[in-house]
Amino acid sequence: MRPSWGTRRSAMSSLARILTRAEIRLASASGGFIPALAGPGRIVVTATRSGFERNATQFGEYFVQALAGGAGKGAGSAEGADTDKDGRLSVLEVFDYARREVARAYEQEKRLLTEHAQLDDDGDGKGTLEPVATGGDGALAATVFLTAERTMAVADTADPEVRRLYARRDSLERLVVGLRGTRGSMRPEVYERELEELLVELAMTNRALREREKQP
Amino acid sequence: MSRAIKAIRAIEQAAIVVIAGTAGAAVAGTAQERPDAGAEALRRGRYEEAIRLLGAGADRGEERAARLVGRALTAVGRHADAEQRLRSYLAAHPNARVLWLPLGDVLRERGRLADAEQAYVRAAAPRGPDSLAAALRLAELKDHRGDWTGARGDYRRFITTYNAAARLSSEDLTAVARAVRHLGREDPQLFKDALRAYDEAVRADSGNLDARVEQGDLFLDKYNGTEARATYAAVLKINPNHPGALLGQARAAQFEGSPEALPLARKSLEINPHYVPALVFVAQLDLEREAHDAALKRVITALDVNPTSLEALALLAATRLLQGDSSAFQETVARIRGVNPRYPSLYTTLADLTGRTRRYRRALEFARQAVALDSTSWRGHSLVGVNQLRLGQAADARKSLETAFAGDPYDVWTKNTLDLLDNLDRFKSAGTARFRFLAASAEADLLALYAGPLAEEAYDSLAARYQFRPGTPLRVEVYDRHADFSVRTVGLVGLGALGVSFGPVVAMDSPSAREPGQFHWGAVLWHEIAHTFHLGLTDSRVPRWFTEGLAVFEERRARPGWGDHVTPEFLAAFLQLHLVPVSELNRGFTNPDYPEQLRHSYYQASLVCDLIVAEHGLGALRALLQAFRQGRSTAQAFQAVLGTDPEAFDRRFNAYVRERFAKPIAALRSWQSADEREHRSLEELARRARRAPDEFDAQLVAGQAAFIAKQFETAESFLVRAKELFPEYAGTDSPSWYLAQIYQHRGARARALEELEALTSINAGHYPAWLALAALRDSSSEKAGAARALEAALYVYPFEIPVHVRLAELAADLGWWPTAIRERRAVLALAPVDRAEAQYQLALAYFGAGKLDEARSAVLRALEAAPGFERAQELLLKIREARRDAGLGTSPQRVQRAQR
Repeated sequence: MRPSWGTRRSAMSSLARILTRAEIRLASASGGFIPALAGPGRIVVTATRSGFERNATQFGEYFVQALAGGAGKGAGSAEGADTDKDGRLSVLEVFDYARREVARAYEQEKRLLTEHAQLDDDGDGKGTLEPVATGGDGALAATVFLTAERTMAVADTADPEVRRLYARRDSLERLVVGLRGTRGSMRPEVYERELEELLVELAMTNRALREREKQP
Repeated sequence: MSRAIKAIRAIEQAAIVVIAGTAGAAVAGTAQERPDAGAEALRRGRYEEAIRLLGAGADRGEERAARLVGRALTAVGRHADAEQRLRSYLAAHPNARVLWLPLGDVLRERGRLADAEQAYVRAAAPRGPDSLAAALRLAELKDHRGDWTGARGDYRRFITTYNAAARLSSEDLTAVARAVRHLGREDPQLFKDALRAYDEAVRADSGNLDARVEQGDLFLDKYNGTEARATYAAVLKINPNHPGALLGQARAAQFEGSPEALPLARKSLEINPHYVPALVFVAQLDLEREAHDAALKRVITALDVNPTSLEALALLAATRLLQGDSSAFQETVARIRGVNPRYPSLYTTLADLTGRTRRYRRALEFARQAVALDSTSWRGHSLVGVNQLRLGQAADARKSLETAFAGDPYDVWTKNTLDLLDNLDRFKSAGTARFRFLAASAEADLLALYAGPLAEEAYDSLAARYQFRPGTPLRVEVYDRHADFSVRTVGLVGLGALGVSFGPVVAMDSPSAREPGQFHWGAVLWHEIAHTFHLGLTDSRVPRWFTEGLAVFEERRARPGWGDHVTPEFLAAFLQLHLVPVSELNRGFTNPDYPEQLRHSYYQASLVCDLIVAEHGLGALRALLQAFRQGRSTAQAFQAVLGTDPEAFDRRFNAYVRERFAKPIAALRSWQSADEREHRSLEELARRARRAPDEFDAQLVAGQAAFIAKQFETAESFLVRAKELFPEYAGTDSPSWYLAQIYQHRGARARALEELEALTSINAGHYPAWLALAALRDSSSEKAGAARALEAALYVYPFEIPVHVRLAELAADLGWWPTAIRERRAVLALAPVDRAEAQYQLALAYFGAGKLDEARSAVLRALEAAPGFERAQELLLKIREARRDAGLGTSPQRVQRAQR
């Protein structure tokens, strides 16, 4: 039996998962782990940027808070770490949440920030304080998830319409991300119009998908 | 942009070659002379003894003794005696060249400049022992007359002389230092050379205390208070009665904002009651606290000693101006011009004092006149810039301050203000109908949500009360760093105030500049806007004490619990007679005797307003403002409006306080400081409390200690009693706060609520109390009450996202859509991690309010960040449907997209 494309894709995802590793070091003076552990397919997170930041850190508390709180709920709470609302938490999202909450806590307590968490995932052994998904440090971390993976129901369905709707949904989401990247080069009213068109279609597709999936 | 401030500290490489020398000729008074008792007594400041011993020596024909007795008599202000002594010795000994210089100095101090000049000419004879010192004084006389060109040329010759001389005496080196210092206004590098020369002078003769004092003066003029203090201290260690060193310490204390300034200056005057620089200094302090009559008396005393003292004349002009005596002011200006037609310091003095008394437009005019007279008046340029900034002219201010800093790179005040302007460039601006707000970019959007509507409300409320409308827009600067706010207000870091009004411009600390909950920023904003009204109404003539009291009074009228409230410390100060009498209340603000007196003065002044209203009605407050506008003093205004004099009002006020706070006053007989209580055990404190059931302090402290030890029943009994004794007390450690926590712990919800409500109705700045109150009401589904408590908390500290989130949720449940929208916008302004969620919630709030366009915009932002956000997707579709139903049309769309 020839494996379905969905099965092959799952297998490859599993393999990719095995080849990717995340090292999360939450202790004080942990910055030195980045050059030591960095490598291809490795995500290294440390609570400090060097071994000289020796004070007890708060980063770990917020890192765990992000994970424990789940994803997709109120802004400004621990549950707000899932910033792209895809129902799962990437390493990048959890890192970003913890980093920003640490800064907020120090600011409110009127204390100097004595810990600077870092992330390295491009293997160059140099951590970044504010990694982003679009390139450099952060790109890999944005694709590795620490919580349950979004259900790939498409792999299990025999309904061609459901499969089509999933494919369409994924395509539309990619289009939105692509459009977002061109924002600076478009007239604002044109951008807004095109964005709304895509999002409306995405919403309608998602609504149709859910209704379809409810059908016996 | 970084600016390097110059610091006048250690001597570095000098432009002039220093050849330290010892005295060649046997000049009287140098260290090489055989020391005698009279000279030693003079050096040590035992002036009467010195006068006696040296006088005897002079009588015996000792030239050196004659010179020194002249110095001693001058040091204690016995100018006539000094002149008589010196002249009679010269009459008997015409070749006594060493007496001409001290004679000239006495005559100069008495303002007899022509006679002084003659004496100096005699002393300046070539190869004379005082020729260099006398030449300096002749140059200074030219300078005094306004002949800067001539004086400058003379000063420059000192450099040549210095470089060419093989050795110079200590007095000669002092003269060189002073000459070079005068030249520093055109080349600031020369100040360091002056410092070096003073150093050499002291090394040449460690007994040359005058050189050290001048060195200290130089440090202070160049804003180095620490070195100045140390230098004066070194002099006072040798001679504790040196009038110049005592005055120097007084000036250094003023520079540091210490209350020691006046006592030290007075000490200087005890030694020499005719010491014009000290009389002028004290008169200036009098003017700063708006005690015009006292200042006038002192300035007249100074001018009786020296009618040509330009500093005294400048202060006389300032006093006349502040008294509103325009013709006397003009006469004095004319008199100054008669002495020196190009005296910029007159105008910098006027600018400084009118600025300190809040007349900023006038201050700017005067500063401009200083600069017009002398383009090298760097102080003048600085005052132009600072006052332009106070009036909201930021771009012009920068130019003026850059000019000032280029001319005097030691001026830390100017540097700080320029650095502040650099910071202001990163501020974001937001406007309302009548206000323009500037705040740090990170918090501008948040603060605008609350400050804007509050300021507009304050404007309307105060305009209705005072029948006056200040010009708009009013500018409000909110500083996220307290250091920046301090610089904005006085130019030197360390100010304790929270806000200031310059009239059209208000500046204040942001709540983020302090610990959370440390102050009530909403009340401060209202307070400062009130000042803008008072200043405008009175053309800035309102005395400090009255506008502060009235502004606190206005805070209390704005909202329950706003404004200062009575504390045990205040009543203890009242009982111990530590409050300033009402008749002198300005002093509590300008020269407090102890640090807390400033805070007490605010509350005291507000009680004065309460009393006036209670006995004369609200109209009396407006009438007093009018009286001040007409230039009346406090005494005159009180007489005209209240029919009483300040001393009688003092008595009435004291009776009023005793009556109003009779109960707590009776219970405060044994108020202890925190230090006194610190090391007592709970048992000791409980015993004390049981022995003293009518003493508030005993009850409160025992209750607090029991609370900390978690002995809640014991704590409750003491705290209840404390509250009975002083029900008005609502501080952060008040009985109500502890009782609320005890009742909450016990599950006695209603009693906890009662305590928290009582507390916050008096002290709306108690942040944790508001949050506790909100939580209690929330837990009982009293949504409106919970929302109101959360809203009140935001005017204390608005930077906690969970507070805004909960208030938004409550508001939505209650259908308070404007509040829900505002709170969701606040969450976004606080840059939450989950921005998509925040935008979605905002969209929901707009949707609930029926604002479909805004809802659509917000939900698009949410989906832009998180396209897979299903709840937001559904909302987008609902909004489209609602728009369609409302006939607004959906946004244009192509249903069939091209497949990409």
